[in-house]
Amino acid sequence: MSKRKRNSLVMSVLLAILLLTSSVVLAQGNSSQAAAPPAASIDQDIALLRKDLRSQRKQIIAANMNLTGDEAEKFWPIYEQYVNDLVQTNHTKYDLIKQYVQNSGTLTADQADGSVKKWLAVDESVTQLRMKYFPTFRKVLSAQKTALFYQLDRRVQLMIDLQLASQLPLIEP
Amino acid sequence: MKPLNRMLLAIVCVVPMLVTSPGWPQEATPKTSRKAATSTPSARQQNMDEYIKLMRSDVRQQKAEMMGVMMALSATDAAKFWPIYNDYDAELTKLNDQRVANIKEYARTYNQMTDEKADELIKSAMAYQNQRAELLAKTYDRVKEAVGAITAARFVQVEHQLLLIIDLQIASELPVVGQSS
Repeated sequence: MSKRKRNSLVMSVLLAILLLTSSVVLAQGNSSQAAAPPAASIDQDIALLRKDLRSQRKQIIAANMNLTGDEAEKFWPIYEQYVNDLVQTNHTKYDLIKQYVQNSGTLTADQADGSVKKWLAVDESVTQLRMKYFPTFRKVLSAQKTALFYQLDRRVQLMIDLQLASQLPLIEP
Repeated sequence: MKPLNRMLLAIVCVVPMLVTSPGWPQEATPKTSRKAATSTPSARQQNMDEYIKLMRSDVRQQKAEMMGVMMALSATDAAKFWPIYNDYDAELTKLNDQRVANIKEYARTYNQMTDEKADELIKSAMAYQNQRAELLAKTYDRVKEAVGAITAARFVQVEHQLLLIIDLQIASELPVVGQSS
């Protein structure tokens, strides 16, 4: 695939991620102004959003890594394991978003304290997870390709995190 | 749209403009300054250092101004909050020295990236992220003690978004490993 085509694919996938996250969180935010949406509805929306994000993330990685057949055979099972671990780690974050939406953006001091500590802990756990997997990816990829994977993965993660964070209302004192 | 959301949109537009280019000065230099392109390597290095210094001071100032607008503190809370924020900003600046050094090293070596160098740069970048997260957690506790958990949570929300915007802009300015310009 040519560089221009690849860049174009990355842009479209990133745009799709932006649209996905905005539409789901905005929809939840709007409904929270009238009345908190049912928990089951939030669960379904979040589950769908996360499934779509995982799919888009994989497309970006696949389109940009230029793996050989041998590399691909070894890389993708580790990637799947990494993403599964990431999903487990991120459960806490999405639970916090759900709790925040259900409370219509208002939290008690204790809830706010607990939420911030959990959110910061999730961010640290994600970094730890990325560090933990580094030697595993290095066993099947060159350091250059491992670095490329980490660059791409971080860009996508930042895009998702920023979009999620900017859609949530700021807590009101 | 709420005024706060409009403000966040403005932040999303302004900060990237401040951060753009210095993250990848070697590509920008030939387009913007023929003189710089023909100067000695040490002069180029000095230009780049000055440019990065200027960019960082602009970003810090804009970031503090945005924080002030978004926090909307009472005079009493502001008197307690800003000394803590200034301590945080000073510590963050020291941490960011490490990040700038890492980016400059990446800019210097990305066309001839070796296994050892890639390993070293990735580990250094992750160590930076860990240390920054620890600093934010520590500052949250100080802010909470001074002005309460709700205002401290708002500080973390705003700071988290500003850091993400800057991170994303820097990440998107850097070429991917192995990609020639």
